[in-house]
Amino acid sequence: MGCNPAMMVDPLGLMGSMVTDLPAIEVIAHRWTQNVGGNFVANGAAFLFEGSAWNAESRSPFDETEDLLDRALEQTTGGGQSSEGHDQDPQSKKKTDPLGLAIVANVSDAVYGKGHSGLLVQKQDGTWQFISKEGRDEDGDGSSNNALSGGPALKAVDVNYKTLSDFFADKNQSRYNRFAMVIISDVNKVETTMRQAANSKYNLICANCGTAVNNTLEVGGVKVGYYITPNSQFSAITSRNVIYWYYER
Amino acid sequence: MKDKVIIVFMGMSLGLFGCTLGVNEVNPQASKSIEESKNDGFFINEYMAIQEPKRLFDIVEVWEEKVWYNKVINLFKKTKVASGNNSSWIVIKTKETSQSPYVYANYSTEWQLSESGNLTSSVGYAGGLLTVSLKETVSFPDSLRLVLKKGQEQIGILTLIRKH
Repeated sequence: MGCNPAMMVDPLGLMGSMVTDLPAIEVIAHRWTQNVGGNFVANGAAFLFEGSAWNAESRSPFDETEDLLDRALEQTTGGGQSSEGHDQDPQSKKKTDPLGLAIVANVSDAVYGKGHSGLLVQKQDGTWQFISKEGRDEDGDGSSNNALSGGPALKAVDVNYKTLSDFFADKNQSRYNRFAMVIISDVNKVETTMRQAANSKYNLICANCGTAVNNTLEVGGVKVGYYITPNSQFSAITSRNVIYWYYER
Repeated sequence: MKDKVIIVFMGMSLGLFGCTLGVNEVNPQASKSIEESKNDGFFINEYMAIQEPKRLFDIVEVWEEKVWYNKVINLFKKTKVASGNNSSWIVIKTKETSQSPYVYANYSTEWQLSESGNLTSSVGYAGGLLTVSLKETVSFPDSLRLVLKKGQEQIGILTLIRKH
């Protein structure tokens, strides 16, 4: 995807725009929220509901999301495409088809309130790969390595979590406070694309942490559009797609 | 005209002095070496690595350090700060060559390290170095056993033993 700032919009007040899949969100979200309680936000509207809010100590989100994944995949594919070995330990679970889940993890108050985003991709072995594009390597090579033109990126944070619970229990990731789960068409391609994007040249406008997530999701069939800041991209993702799970903490 | 002058001046300032707008202040970073970790006050302990079979990785040095972040002070200045929860991780610095079978370029797609016990929350890369993130309840482990896998097949074992 080319970077043309003139084509980009950075919407303040994007909320509520371009709602295309609201019924699907409501149906799936309703089932989900009935089980767990807590906060749910979709298409700019916040839903508060009763029940014990999820937290890392009280329950494992993995069990719920695994179940959700199976149901979501059945809905998406018409059945028969869900992961094998439904009752097996997640570690031994291996899907044969690459359709799967990704979670956009966002820090809403980072970088002067513009936000920061990374991507969790569920691999075919059931584990979760978390990849995040870091900033510009100020000490890196390049004659035009500066804040205006950009420069080489710091090497990505690229770590594997055995379960989603491990990610949420990791205090080092505690600043991530908003999560939106989407279905992606090819987990392998998405993971590889995110890794490449996260380690390619950094530019504040055209190639930042959010655009890495943005461009990667587009490869996985998720609609995002042209937005500059991670927070506006996050808003676009949640308002333009079916969000199978949304969580704030 | 005045606006243009201001924009040009701002552009020159950003270009000349850099700015911290692109600094990621969220994710933990890894020191590049033991020396750097010591200089910054994050170093905890050094580890030795035993590989079975030998030379899976060309390991330069292994150490445990406090997890740290970049903290943005202002538009032109940042600093490194230790994580508030006193967590630590083990950093494995390897030398990657064109002959190395296990390099970051094919990490995850071809091979992966995982910890065999329940001491860690994640294993992966940060700053180009292998990092083993310890659970909050775990610190100063005397040893750590990492399993190298290629797909589902176990290729080898990397055992890290604390030196002091």
